[in-house]
Amino acid sequence: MPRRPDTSPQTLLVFQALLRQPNQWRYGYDLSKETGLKSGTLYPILIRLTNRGLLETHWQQPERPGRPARHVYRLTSEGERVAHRQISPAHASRQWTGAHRPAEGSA
Amino acid sequence: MRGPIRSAHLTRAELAGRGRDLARVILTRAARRLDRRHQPWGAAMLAELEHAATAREALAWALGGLRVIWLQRASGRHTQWPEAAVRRRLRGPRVLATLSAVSAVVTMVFRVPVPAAAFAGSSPTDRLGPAHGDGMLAAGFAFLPLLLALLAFLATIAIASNRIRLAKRLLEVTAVLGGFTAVWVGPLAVAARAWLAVAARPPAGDTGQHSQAG
Repeated sequence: MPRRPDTSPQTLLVFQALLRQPNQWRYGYDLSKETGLKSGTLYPILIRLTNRGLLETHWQQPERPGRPARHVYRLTSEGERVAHRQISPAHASRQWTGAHRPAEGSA
Repeated sequence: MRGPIRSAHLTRAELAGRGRDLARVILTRAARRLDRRHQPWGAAMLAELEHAATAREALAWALGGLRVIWLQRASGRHTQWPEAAVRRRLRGPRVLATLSAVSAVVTMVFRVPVPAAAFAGSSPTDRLGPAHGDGMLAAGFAFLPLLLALLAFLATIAIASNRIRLAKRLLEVTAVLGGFTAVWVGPLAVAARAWLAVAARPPAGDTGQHSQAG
């Protein structure tokens, strides 16, 4: 059975990080730090979300001359909607499993 | 006077600098291999590399970038092989494999009769015996076509389970073996039969002695 898109734990982490400040442009390196994802995991997610129109990107000119321009990311309105929708069931299922999981040894 | 002697050991700062340089070189060279559509992503990862706190992080970032580039290239190859294209490509080898399988079955079930005389007398297959020689030919006819049919069947399963890359590999092997079968096995088998028939023919003047013996 095919997996539903944008439901992997890594993608949910990215959604959560981007939703913390939805209107602010975010750097890839900062997102990597915040989510704990390596670049090899983070960027395929960013690429996929961008291709699906859930993320908008932009080249930001460097603050100091001589440094390269940085690629920044922000959720689109559709991206925000999808992120909220994906995160809430994930939260709900985590809370459900946490609340109903029997204590070890009690069974 | 001699100047200050430079230590052969690198300082920590120098090592860090070299680590960053190495990370930059790795990522730059790898990013060049991205297709035009994904070039900005290579540049994006390269730009972020400059903000890595330590050389170790920079190296880890670059290695992660290698994975991204490999994935994008792999997905590019994948998109070049949509299912319809694979099915189209499969058509030829499947027809070839089916024909080969049918010919293999026909050869095995209704074996083309080889006159017993062909294996008698001075035939080089004397020591093997007629049944052995005929069986070897039948096996020669049967083995590669059956393998082709099996490969084509596996390729069909691979496509059905959406394993496009595996299907492509199987098709390539099928095509190569199919070509080999078409070009070599048929003519070789015909030539082998002709050679056996000629070699077993009784010499002139020796009318039917060997065939009687056979």
